[in-house]
Amino acid sequence: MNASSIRAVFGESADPPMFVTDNDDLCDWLVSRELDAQMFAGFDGPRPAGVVFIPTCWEDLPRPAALRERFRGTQVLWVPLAAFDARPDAAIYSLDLLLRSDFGTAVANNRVVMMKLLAAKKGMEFHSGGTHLSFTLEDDVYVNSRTRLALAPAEHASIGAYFEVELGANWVEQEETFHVNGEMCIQGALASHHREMPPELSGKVARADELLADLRTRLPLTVRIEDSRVVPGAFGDLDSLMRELTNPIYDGLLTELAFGTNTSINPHVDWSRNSQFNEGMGGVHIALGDGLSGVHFDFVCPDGELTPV
Amino acid sequence: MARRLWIEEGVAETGEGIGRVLSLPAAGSATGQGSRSASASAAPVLHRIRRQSISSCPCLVGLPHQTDQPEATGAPDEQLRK
Repeated sequence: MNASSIRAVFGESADPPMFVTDNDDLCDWLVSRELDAQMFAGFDGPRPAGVVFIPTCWEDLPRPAALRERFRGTQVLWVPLAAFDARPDAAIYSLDLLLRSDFGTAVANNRVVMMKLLAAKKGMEFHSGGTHLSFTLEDDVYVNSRTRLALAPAEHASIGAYFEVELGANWVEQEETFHVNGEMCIQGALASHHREMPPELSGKVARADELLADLRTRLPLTVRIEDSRVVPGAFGDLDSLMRELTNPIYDGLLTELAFGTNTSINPHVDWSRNSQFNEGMGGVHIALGDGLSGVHFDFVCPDGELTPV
Repeated sequence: MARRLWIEEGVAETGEGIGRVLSLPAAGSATGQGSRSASASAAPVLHRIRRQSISSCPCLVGLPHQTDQPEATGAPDEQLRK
């Protein structure tokens, strides 16, 4: 276990963070690891300097403004299990990987990827056994990731920002700032959704579990990507369901391109789990769906070499 | 034009994004926010970044953004300068 690594997120001289969750079983599990843990419902006393916040259910979570008030003055590291599989065994699998993660190494890896993005004249290439992807980049590239290990005072950040360099859309124009072509050998797949997903779409989340279980039996699976779209037929007879659950309006358009940097957990990754940690283990991952108007599916190729071109 | 990375790292308790903008100076230039021989840790100037929408990736979900901000800006935030 590498629980000391997480402490550096809150500054070297700070007290250990408090783990706050909305799930009794997880709270007990954390306490059994001799960590300072408390239920979110009872989090109303003196505020600690740092909190690792682990929500497992979106429905009972206060709205953003109320959350900011609840954590006022506190550094908060988010572990949003509610977006993926938050059932007890899956949640404990994720927390075990959290404690095994090396945050310092991941942030150093983030910086290496960013320097490659800056140094690239045209874009990047990613190659492994069955994956050959080329990316072209716009002059302005929008990224979600950490370049700093320690949180600023009262800053909130997600483990997703620590463990991957995610290329997203231009925040203003809502246009992608990367373009992808090639083929990718998918080794693992995940499904997730935002807390802001409308309740009437929640049925898609349950159906995504079934699709994911079927898809896993077919992995590894090689898909072709042209002009940042997964070509029709890539998932065989699962194509139509994938299209429906993600939102047909995207028509196969990738909604994410990211590079995982949490390499310290690699020997412990279990692909049968729908855990956010799996996508951060290394390599490249792409996604379909936005998690709001439909399910967000991540497809992971965990090994390979990223080269600027 | 040199490439720029608009990096969002987290969210301030105001609900605004916190990030930085990284770029490399032209070859031979002594100015810029980074340098070709330096790591991305150079020029640790933090910015408050306003974004119009939440990420398409739910791995960043839950962060208490104010999602109704109309524009993105890279203006440096002196309070966050380290």
